[in-house]
Amino acid sequence: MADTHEPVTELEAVDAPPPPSIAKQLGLGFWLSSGFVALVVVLALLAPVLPLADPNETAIGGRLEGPRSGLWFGADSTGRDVLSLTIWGSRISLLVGFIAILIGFAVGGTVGIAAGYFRGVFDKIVSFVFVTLLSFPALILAILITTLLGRTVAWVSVSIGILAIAPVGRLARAQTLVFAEREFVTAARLLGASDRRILLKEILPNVVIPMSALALLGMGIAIVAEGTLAFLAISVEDGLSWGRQIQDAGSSARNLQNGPHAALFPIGVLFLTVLSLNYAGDRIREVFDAKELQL
Amino acid sequence: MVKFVAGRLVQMVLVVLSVTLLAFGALNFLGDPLFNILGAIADEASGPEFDEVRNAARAEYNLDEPFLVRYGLWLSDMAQGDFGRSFANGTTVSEELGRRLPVTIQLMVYAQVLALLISVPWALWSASKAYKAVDKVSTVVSFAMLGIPVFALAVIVFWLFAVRWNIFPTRFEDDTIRSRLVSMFLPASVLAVPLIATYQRLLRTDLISTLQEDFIAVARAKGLPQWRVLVRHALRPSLFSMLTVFGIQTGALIGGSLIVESYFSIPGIGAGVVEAIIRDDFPVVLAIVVVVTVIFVVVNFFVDILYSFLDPRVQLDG
Amino acid sequence: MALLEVRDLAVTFSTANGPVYAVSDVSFSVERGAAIGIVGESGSGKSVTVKSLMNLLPSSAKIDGTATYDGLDVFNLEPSRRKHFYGVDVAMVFQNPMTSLNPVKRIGEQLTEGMRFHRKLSRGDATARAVELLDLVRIPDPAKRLRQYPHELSGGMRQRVVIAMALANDPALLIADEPTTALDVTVQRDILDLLDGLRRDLDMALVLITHDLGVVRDRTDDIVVMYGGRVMEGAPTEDLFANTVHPYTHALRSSIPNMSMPRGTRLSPIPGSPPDLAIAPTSCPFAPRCTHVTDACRTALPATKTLDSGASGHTYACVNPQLGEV
Repeated sequence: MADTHEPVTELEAVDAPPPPSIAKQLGLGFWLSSGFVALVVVLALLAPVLPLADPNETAIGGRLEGPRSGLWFGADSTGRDVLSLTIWGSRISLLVGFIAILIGFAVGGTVGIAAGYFRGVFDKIVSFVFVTLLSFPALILAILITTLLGRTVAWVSVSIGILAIAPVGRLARAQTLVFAEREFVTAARLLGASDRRILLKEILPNVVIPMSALALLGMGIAIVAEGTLAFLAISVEDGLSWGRQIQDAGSSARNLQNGPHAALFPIGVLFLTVLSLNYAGDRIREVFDAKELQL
Repeated sequence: MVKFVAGRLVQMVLVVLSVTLLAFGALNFLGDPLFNILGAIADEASGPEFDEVRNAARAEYNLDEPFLVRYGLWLSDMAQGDFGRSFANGTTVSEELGRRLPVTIQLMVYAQVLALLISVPWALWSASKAYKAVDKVSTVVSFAMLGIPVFALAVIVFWLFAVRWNIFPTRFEDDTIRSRLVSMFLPASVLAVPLIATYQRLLRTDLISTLQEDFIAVARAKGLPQWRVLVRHALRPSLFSMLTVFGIQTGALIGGSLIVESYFSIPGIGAGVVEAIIRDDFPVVLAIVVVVTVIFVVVNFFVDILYSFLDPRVQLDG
Repeated sequence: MALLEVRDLAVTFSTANGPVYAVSDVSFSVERGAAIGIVGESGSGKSVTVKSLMNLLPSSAKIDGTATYDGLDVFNLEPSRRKHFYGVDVAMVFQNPMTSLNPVKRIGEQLTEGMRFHRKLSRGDATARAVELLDLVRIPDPAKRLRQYPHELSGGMRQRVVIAMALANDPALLIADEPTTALDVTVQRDILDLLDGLRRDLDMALVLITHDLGVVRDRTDDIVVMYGGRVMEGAPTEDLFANTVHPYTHALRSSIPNMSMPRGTRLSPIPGSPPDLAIAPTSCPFAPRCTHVTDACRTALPATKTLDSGASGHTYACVNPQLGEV
């Protein structure tokens, strides 16, 4: 089928107008979401030099005082500045999300690609380990690890990162299986390229794009996971984070009655961040999936 | 059929074994097992009565035996329904489970029922309007529902419906079936939201492709009305993707139950595990992890078997 | 008055790349109890024509022209009439029996569904009728079949089931859209003869759609030949074969095998491919592939003319008609 159709597609490709640039194809929504995520990241990085109130200082504003000029997000039940808390809180949320995904990709990606490329017994073992990891309800596994290892940024990131290993690994393995059968890989092998060279030069670049979509989606999931642990008071001890802040402000009916803004602002920022990451990831996947079909 | 079920059973047993090995291994190798079992009393407190507790814990978990023997003994205890005991408050884990598990199962079933009641009609409706403006709007809505973290949603829902509008109680009450259903409505809805979005998306996609099938045109040519074609002909062959994630979603539900049970003070297994973690009561955590994982694996096993009932063509020998 | 009267039917699909003119200026009529064949290659618009009558086109299709069934305006049926029109007055048999039956429902359920919905038959009555119907389409052991799933039946059997399903409410008009194309050659004739026999026995009108002139030759009263969404030639069956006029019909005739052909006669496939329906034609759609093409063919759409001043009901749309053997 494919062989007989190729010349036709080529002819059509010549006639067709040049495809819109990738930036255009991704669409306005993608750039808005990316812009929002970038803004959140920049604010998090610049927190120490921004003219913000000390997030731990109480009585900056009145108890559950509403938003006003100079206290844009209002104050929480102890009079802390909610804006400052939200920006400082983003630091742990984003950092944990980032490290977790890094771990997930470093371990899951490497093992998954190796399993897909070398196949055999190694692949069988790896696949079984993935199945086992996925058989744990995710949050329970994270809790198990954090409880035993300790509630530091590093260990919380590791525990969430471990959750990412199996999904990332499965995708990496599946993608590698697809590409390992393609002509250019066979060609490279016939030309005597080493496994190492084929993996790095031929397979990795092709696996990276679908994986980058997963990285954005995964970041969102990891941030939610950290927020959840913090909300349950089992994330980083004494650390400010969105989940902790939302739990602080949202766990008392009276506080919610008197000043819902203290919970709603961090919720809004968290929601928009996760939504933006999801949307950006989805767009990348859609655009590159379409490309894949055209190949 | 038999071959398929047997294969899945073997896989299930292997997974349960690895999960328990991993969890028990964590208890024994990550730090001092005695400390893990007893929590703070392991080394801080001194005195003869604490020595007794320490010895009891040693005996209970066979700490003087080599690891594999210890694991085997523990596993056979678990299999006989002896899940160990909490050294923090003296209760046995089985009692704790017996009290908490039914509550959580009710909550999860409640959430699944709500999710199905809303997502299936929604998917049918959006598939029948595929690619029209209303369908696009509903896709955006389900995307947002999928993105909102469960704990944030819990706070918003609690604030709106319990605090602001006073429609639901702010405390958990369960003296009657009715009050339990009412108290559990908000938590179950919170759990249901991501499920609704997931089911709606999958079912809508599958329905749209089923609606292209010839047998749908045949049903239409029989003069059946649109809703009847959708419900009687298109729905069942479109349920596969949804059913696949039904099992996986049970895992998400278990995670979600931790959040909503803690937040809404529902005395279920999720709140129990969080409390146990906070008081460093590792035996309870361990037992709950194992039980919950086994439930999860078993649910997924049955979902696989259910396939054959949905599609008579599936022969189940793969 | 004819049972079904189609006048100036046009179906246009709006797509992302602009309109597609699938059917244009199609007119034909079917008498009560008569059989008509609509013949053409794939893409000729024959299937779209009947799907528009059956209300099976997607919402992107725009339908113009009229279709009158027994005095009723088919495209503007009153809701109460429409509810029991499809599947009762008019029924349809589809091309591919392998995909025409719902894989997850038993044969019995699919057979009785239409009767129970339209006529409110009880389960028992509907089942009794289903057995009768399977008997009618000559399926052995009907009671047992009712409990089976489609995948347990052969293609020919399934098509018989589909036909039985269509007959459930005694339709006055049956539309069969290439009912044998997907079947083994050995079964094709059986199914066609079955349809032909049923039409006679049940006094039912039949619209038989096919790409094969041979199929309709002995089984229809009239034939409409379509190409590029238009009617090229239409005539009573005997007349069409006796006095073929249109070069496209000639081409179709010489592309089918015929028992009377001398041994060694080469079948000639029609060179070229069907026209692009996204362009509104301003010339004869068949002109690019026609061996008798003239300059006039390329400058305007040929008007529909009658042969023998209309006495035989033979019409054609061609500026360079080829009477007799070519």
